[in-house]
Amino acid sequence: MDIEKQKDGKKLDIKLVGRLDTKTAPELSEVLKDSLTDVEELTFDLSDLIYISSAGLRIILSTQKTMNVQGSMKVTNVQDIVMEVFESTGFVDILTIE
Amino acid sequence: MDLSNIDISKLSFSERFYLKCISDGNKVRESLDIMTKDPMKYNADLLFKILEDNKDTEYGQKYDFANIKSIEEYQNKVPITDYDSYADYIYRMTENGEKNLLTSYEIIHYAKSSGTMGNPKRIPTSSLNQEINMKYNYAYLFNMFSEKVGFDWIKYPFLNLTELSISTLPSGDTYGSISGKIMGGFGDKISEFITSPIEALVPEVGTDIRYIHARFALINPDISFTITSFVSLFLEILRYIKGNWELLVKDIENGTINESVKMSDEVRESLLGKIKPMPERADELRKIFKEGFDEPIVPKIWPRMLLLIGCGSGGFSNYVEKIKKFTGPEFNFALIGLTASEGIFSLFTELNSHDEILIPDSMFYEFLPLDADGDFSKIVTLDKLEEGKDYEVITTNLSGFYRYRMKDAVRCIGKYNNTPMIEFLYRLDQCLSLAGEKVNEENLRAAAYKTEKDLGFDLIDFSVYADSDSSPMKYVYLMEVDDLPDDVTKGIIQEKINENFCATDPVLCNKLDKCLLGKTELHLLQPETYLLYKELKVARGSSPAQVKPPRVLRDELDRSFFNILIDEELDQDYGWNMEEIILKSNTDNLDSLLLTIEELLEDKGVPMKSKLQLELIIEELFVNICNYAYEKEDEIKIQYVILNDPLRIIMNFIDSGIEFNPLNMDGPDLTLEAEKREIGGLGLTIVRKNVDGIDYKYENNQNILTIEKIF
Repeated sequence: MDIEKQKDGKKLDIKLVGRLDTKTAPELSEVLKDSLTDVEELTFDLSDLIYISSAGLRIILSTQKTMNVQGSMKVTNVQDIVMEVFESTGFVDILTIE
Repeated sequence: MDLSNIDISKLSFSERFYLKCISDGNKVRESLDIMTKDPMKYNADLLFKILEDNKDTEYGQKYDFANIKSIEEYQNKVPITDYDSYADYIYRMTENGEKNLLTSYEIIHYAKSSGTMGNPKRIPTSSLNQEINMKYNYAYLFNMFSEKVGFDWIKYPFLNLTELSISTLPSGDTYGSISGKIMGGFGDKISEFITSPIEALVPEVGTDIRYIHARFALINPDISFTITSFVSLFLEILRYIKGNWELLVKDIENGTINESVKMSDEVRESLLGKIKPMPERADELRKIFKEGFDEPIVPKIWPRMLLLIGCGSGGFSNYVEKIKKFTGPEFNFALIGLTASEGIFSLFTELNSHDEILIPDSMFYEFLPLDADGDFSKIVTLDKLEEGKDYEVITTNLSGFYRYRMKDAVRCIGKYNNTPMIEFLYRLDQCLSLAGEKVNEENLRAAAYKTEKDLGFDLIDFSVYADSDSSPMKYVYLMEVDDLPDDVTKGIIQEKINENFCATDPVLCNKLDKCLLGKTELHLLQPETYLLYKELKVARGSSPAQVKPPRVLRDELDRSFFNILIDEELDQDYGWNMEEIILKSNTDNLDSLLLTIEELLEDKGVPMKSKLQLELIIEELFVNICNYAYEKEDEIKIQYVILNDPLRIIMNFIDSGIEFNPLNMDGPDLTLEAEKREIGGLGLTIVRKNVDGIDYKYENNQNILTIEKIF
């Protein structure tokens, strides 16, 4: 999986490319750990994310919790196959999806 | 027990608390012994006291408590109820602070009960009820513990894993867990009792409480016992320590908190204020952990820890067995029976026993036989329980519930004095039927755990649903597994589940035989699915200590949650049987091996380049074994299978020669002259370069090297 970061002041855009699963979730976790400080507006661009597993969902969930405290988070350009996972797991009620 | 020669004045607050419990415990045990000899008398006395005391409440007047003179009259006049019967009253009590509606007893707390998602119940708790809790949960238990291990433990703190979050309702009453209410009463003195800091006891959302509990417990070698809501939580902490001990020890050494541990900056800062570097303890722990987790680790970390208190009956008994691997044989379990928010229902007769007896002065019991099909006229009192028969529990408690269905199924398994002993079976709202059979949690559990044991994997958790849309209808198991042995595939687990599930009940078996029910299906879930489930529930407002894995998936929501998280790779129905050839370890046999594989790949459209690479791999590995594994010619076993999507071959090279892990070897030192290079080094580099997956293990005195080549 590739993780592309773009930071602009208190805004952070993260684009995820590939599969977010048990193997790659720790990478994202590592990246987020270092880059969420001071961020008030977080956007995940999922246009090239083709798969998300339980481990990936856990990170999205914990990031949402963090952002609930320090600002806002949204998820954009979700592909159908990932959207189906968000819908089935009830994540659509928790995330802001655009 | 004689406590007379202890000088009370020299004791700390917590020591005095424990000694009072232990001393009260003598009386509690004596009086319980008397009551259990004539339980019906004491249980009836309790009912009439409740009716008399509450005759002027709104509920008591409505049902004419004042004129009820017998149990029979009570059963005729007062209806069977559930939580919804009281919801309006409880709303008035908790929102407006109205009193004397359900009970005249002082309500001191509302227990948060794990209701349906997003809708936790508020179960009133009276001061009388709380006294009973104290008596049986603390006095009785600590008395027995001291009888077994002496008094030394009272000087030391315990590891508390229950949650102490308490909130306030509009009426001003407290709302939260019962243990939170009790321990909240200790005020500032709580740190005398408990190792974990407030950040783990009343956790902020997004805090990794496993780390905090583990960290603060590890630094204290003197912990004397552990209290948890469900025993599974203690197992989770032990597993966390096993998986993260290096990080924990490093933090303890340096007085730090690793950046990767999830918590807010405020929590981190506050915790850092409470810790300091402890290099000596860190050294001690590192030594312990380096010895591995095969031997029980708890006695090494905490030599004084001799007791776990928590709910371990019914579905949790399996966790007890798993915890024992960590704690060893000297450890004790106080497996609290049915301690519901509605009151304490049953009590263990001794430490480490799964036998539980009814408590004649805790609540008034009625029982509806499960085979009565909901016919309330068949309800019996405790003196009429028949051994071996199953019942639903109906309680009249000390906090304003009358003839309330607990939705718990229990079995009467014998008598202690004259009091029934019971065994918790399952939650009644978790009973399934597709074709007239009755499948409950017990069947589901038995089949799952037997399968786990039979096949030797680690079952993290599982759920089941009844698929009534398929034809024929069928049960579907969803399992999250770990440490799956290589030869155990999804197909094999499914076969075993079918066998074991069928064996749990003849009626079920009969329906399966007659094809009235379809073959039970199995799907394997992604790793961390149950953790995600729990975190999601917590994110939606459930209390972490209360979230249990759902055994039976009833609603569409839960079902689709788990179905979408099926592990596509694990769940492929390999069911593959590998082909196998056995060859003598002689390089002359290489050609026939290569020929076999070549024939296998014919017509599969494998590119020439991949074929050549595979040949190279096979040659290197085979020749390597021939040359170095044995002193004399012996056998080499080759297993192989061709799989699709993507097209690939998986091969096992198995020999019983000297143990040799080629993956441990560094690449060859190419600067050395050829004859000085390590044997095999170069060949293995070629293998590694050309495979898509390679794995080695040594099992049953065999070297097993597995390679995967994608075409």
